[in-house]
Amino acid sequence: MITETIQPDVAIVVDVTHDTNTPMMEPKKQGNVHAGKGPTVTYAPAVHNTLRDLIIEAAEANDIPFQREASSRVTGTDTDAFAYSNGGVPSALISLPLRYMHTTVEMVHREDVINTAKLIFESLRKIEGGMDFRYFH
Amino acid sequence: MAIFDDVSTKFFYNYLNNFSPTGYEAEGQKMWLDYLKPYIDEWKLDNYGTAYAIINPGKDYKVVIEGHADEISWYVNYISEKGFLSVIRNGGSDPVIAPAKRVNIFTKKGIVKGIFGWPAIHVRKAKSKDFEASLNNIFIDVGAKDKEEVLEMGIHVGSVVTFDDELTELNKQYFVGRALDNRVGGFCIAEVARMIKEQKVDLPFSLYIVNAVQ
Repeated sequence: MITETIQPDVAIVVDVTHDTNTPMMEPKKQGNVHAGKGPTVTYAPAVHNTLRDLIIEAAEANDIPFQREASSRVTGTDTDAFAYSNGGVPSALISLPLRYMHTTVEMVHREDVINTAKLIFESLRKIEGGMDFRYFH
Repeated sequence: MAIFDDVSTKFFYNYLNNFSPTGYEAEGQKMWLDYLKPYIDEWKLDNYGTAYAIINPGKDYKVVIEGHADEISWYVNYISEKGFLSVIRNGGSDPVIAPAKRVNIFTKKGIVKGIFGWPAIHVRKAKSKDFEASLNNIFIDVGAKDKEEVLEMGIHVGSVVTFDDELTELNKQYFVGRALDNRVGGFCIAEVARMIKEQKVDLPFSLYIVNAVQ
């Protein structure tokens, strides 16, 4: 996998997630995600807390709307592959809410696309060279 | 700076209307890299087709932003004597939505058009009330008279099939199409590279922008 080739110190993964507010979806079970209300930031064992908080701070400081969601065990995205590679790469997941996944009429909100790009950009601006992600010393 | 200006919107449409099923991502990856080239310092490709661009190469500290580039598809796994194709899933393809959809079949002779056929509603009702599309009953018709003709068209077991729907917009707010998952992510990370270049951001690390396959 590409993580072995690059040997990154930090990885931010962008994928899609389910908009759970269309008919026949269950927000209580699947998490409450609305298309148009911003990208989601995921809480999961594979996600590094410090990196995730840095992303949330970037969103708040720049007025970028975002939503939170949680995954137990795996995120089902490449975040898992990065997080559990090379002795543990601090990783986080930003997702675009998407309606009707795996159909020919997948839908994303234009503003979410814009805000996802902005959120990644502003998060990168907060990462310092040589940043240490260990929780204590 | 607008994320969706004329140049990026054109790229967004071209990139999403292109087909990039697993194993056939090369064209989409080229398109993605061509769009990125003015904003990056280097680019590379691995053996399986993961493309990555680098801004500020050579630093000790490396940060990756990543999306996956491949779209879900089908594999032809059986061709009947009458010339109909059965398929299996390559990724999370959904048999329930397949009936009456138009498809592209990737062959050495280029893209061959086909459709998922489906019996008429009144015929179906006579058979069973709960006639649901599944991998056991969906099939592709390419207009061939028999298996031999299907093979002559360049189709064989293992040929990759995608739906042929294109990108449209709803209410000027939503983009609608096939396989936005996750090429829309590939678009977002490309736009990040553009913002870094256009806003002349000096990053204290090497940034790897990865459009991954597999």
